[in-house]
Amino acid sequence: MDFRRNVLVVAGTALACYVLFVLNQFLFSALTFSAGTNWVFLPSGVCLFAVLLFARLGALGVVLGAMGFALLQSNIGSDAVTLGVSVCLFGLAPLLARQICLGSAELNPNLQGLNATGLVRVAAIFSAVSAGLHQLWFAWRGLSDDIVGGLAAMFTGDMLGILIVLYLVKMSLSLGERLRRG
Amino acid sequence: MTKTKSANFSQMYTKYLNLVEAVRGLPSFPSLDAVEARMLNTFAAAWHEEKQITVLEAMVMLPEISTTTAHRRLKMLRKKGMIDLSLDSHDNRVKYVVPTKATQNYFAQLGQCMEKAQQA
Repeated sequence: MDFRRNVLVVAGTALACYVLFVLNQFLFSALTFSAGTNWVFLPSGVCLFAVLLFARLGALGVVLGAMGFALLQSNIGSDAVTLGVSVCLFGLAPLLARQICLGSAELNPNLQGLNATGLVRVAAIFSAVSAGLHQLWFAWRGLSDDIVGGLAAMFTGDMLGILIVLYLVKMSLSLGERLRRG
Repeated sequence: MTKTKSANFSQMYTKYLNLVEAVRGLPSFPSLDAVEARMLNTFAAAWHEEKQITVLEAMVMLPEISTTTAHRRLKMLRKKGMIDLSLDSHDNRVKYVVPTKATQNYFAQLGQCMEKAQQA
């Protein structure tokens, strides 16, 4: 039962992540700053939700979703190492950000007492960690000429992506309530 | 189901509820529907004449809507931060509908729009 639940969590997260990768490419491919860096990055929203709710299982789902997308349509370099590490960073960055937030008492493991301001702060830490790790890796592999610009673009993209997803969830919650009330 | 598994589910559900509560708390865009805007305009006219509006008066200021609808819209306006309620200093049973900073900003923005429209 527990194993089945874990598989469901990982598969669900991977699917949601993959769908958002595809949607992001469809909607915002014109807003690409450089290879692997977008001004709007919707999958970040799923990464944050998945890691906050399911921790390591969520991160694994994110990695699998990103891997699925990378295998089908990759634009982050051509070699397997660059691609593999970039994909792993999608799962590792939110986990690291979660650990930082837990360590700095910004976050409770059960998300107890988390409010909107706290959530936005966690999102900002997550975006900073994700952008930092990815840009360092891209620079290491010689894919980025402008680390500062890439960092700013990726941070903005992650934050915007998270905010869009958060507001979509908020809107669906309100809509659900309205439908229930009739 | 063992106790550990049950605790895991419970923990996950608690996390979900806490996350949903945090998402619900995100600031909303103060979009007013036609009825709310009309109510606010009616209140503004009274506030401009320095009249105090009790909640009961506010509920019957628009004859075309029922008191139930008016009450619901008052609650929505309060939730959106467009009005606040203040207690009467002599009688705690009486509550007045008062403007907030967001109301003042709202009318200031409308005023600026009018000015721009006149200049165009």
